[in-house]
Amino acid sequence: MTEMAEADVVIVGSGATGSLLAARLGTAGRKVVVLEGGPPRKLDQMYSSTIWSRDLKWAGPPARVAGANPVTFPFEAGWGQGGSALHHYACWFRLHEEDFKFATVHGTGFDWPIEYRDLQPYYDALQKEVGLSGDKDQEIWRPPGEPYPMPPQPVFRQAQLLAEGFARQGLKTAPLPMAINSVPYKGRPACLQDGWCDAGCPTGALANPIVIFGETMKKAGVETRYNAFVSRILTMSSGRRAKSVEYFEADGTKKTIDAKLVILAAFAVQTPRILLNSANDRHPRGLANSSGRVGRYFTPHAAVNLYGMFAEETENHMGRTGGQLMCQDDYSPGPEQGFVGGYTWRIGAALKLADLGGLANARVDLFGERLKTFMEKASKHLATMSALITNQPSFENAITLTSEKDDNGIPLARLTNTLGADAKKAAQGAIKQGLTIFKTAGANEAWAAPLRTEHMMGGTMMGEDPAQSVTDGYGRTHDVENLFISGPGLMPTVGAVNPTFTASALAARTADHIVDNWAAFAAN
Amino acid sequence: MIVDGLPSRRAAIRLSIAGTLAGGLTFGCDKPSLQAGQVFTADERETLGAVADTLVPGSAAAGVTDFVAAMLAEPDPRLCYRFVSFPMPPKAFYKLALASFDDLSHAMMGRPLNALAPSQRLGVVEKLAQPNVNGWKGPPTALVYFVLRSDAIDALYGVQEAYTRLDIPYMAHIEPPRPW
Repeated sequence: MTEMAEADVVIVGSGATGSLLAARLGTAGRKVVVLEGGPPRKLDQMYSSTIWSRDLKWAGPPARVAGANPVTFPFEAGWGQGGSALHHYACWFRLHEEDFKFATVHGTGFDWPIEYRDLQPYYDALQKEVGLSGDKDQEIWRPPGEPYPMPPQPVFRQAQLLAEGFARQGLKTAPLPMAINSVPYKGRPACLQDGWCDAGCPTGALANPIVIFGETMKKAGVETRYNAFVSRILTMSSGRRAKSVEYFEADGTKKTIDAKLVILAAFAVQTPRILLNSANDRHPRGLANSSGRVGRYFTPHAAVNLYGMFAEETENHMGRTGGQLMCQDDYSPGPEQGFVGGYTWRIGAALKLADLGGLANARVDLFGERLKTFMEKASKHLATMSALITNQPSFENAITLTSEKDDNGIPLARLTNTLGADAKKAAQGAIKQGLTIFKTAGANEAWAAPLRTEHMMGGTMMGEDPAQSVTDGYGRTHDVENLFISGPGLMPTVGAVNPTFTASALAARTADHIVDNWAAFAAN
Repeated sequence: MIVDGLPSRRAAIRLSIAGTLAGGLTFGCDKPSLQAGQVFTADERETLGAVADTLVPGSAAAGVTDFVAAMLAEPDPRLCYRFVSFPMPPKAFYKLALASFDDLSHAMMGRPLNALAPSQRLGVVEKLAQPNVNGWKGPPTALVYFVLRSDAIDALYGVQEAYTRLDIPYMAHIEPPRPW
């Protein structure tokens, strides 16, 4: 069944960037409809439970994983209003200036079509709008920009202990910048430091799309259709313009909605999946895919967790899931190390007993009575930190379609990822350094967990050359003039920091660009 | 339909809704009333409890079999299995894994797992640490280890009582309506 409707702008996805764009464009007077594949969310249903928190994780069509380092897509992605930003850890770092000139600096990877200075005003404005806590002066590695609007978060014992270890190694630490209130801010309370970030923050202390953009979207008349799973973008006969968006409701009813402009903000997997599934006569390899780059250069970070047991109690139940302190002394080492890649230390994550990042998985090899003994000790004496490691883009790492189909007949996505040799070398360096830090901090024992992946970026990267990229520097697709992409999928290189701040800054820049050029983009 | 012979996600949602309307699922009490017997056979229930308790002592008494069964009856189970992207519906995965345990137990000890003494069970379950186990016909052993260990951890350590037991403040913003 097809039901025709019309909007100025249809946005696919209600996560961090989809909600931002909806709020901006709705406020600018545009009739905006958001199509969200999952259900609506209520703050009072964000239960403080590692089991119940899984309701916020991906529950849509499964994805197949492949490669030597498969990604944990369902853990990374969100399901429903707010997307993954509803359960994200709110580590809001800026990329460094050299990340935008990666190929120029390192002779490999890509340069972005924009520079840090293009994004700096958006970083600065967003940190005021969203509310960031941190200390610009202590964060000596941070590129230019305004001070954070809130003071840094409190530091608990495990981070204090580890900071002493860093200092003894001649390394600097600083408060980790977070989109979490350290003090009451814009009507939202300060964080209670109880470590339930991953379960969603019902108080609003942690900035999620509902508390940041929900009221603005409502006032602007933005309509959000839930359980509306998008399958295709349909184009005009010329193929140069998007005409409508096809989606399925929960009962399988197929609908379409016409739009003057379409924005895909469905995260790094579903956005290329929709584009590839939208192949037509004019776009036989998939929509906006004349370059053959849709789905390609999918680039998760490499990451490794380190743990240490201390004689004294570490208060590891206190704080935030994302951590307390940071160190970027080895973010961008020179060529003398013999490979490209650095890392950010995130120090002192608050720990719960269960779930993927819980205490019990600090030693996945333990079971039986040894696990029981470990849990009793670790719950009081464990400390942790993690290295987030640069990974270089590779054409072979990709989001492609399989021959299997979901309930709506849409091919499932396959996510292929193998970490590069340089990322693995950087990880070995981080592990060696980290174990030394634990030792000098006074840990009785320390160990590293297996190398893993974190975050999902790339797959629809921006660039100047239409033959080598999917969109321009504003996220507008090279091939379809009224189709934009938003989110971390745009990132040509990924640096060594959590991507939400950068993805949001890019979306804010895209919003300004659309508002300023609406007449041109909306013209038929 | 992803796998022939098994209900699709949409069909599972329909079944769940129908079950709720028919009074088959009644929530609001301390734990879901759905019991393991409604999802697993008696043998499967015994095997699941034995494996889980070997991996995480105390998890059987904490109700791991009811936990897994209750979750499998939901359209989107809150199990760590949802994170692993294994191409098999969850219920089929569990049934295959549990059957494989009993096959392995028969091959090693001549009896099903639940008929073994705890020390004998350990010898069978320890095989999960090996990537290639003779006679194992189930999903990859490492995956089975991760999933069943995670379930057992959830049942014993993923609930508020565990924090009380270990003397750690739970500090809930909003307490869950029931443990799982």
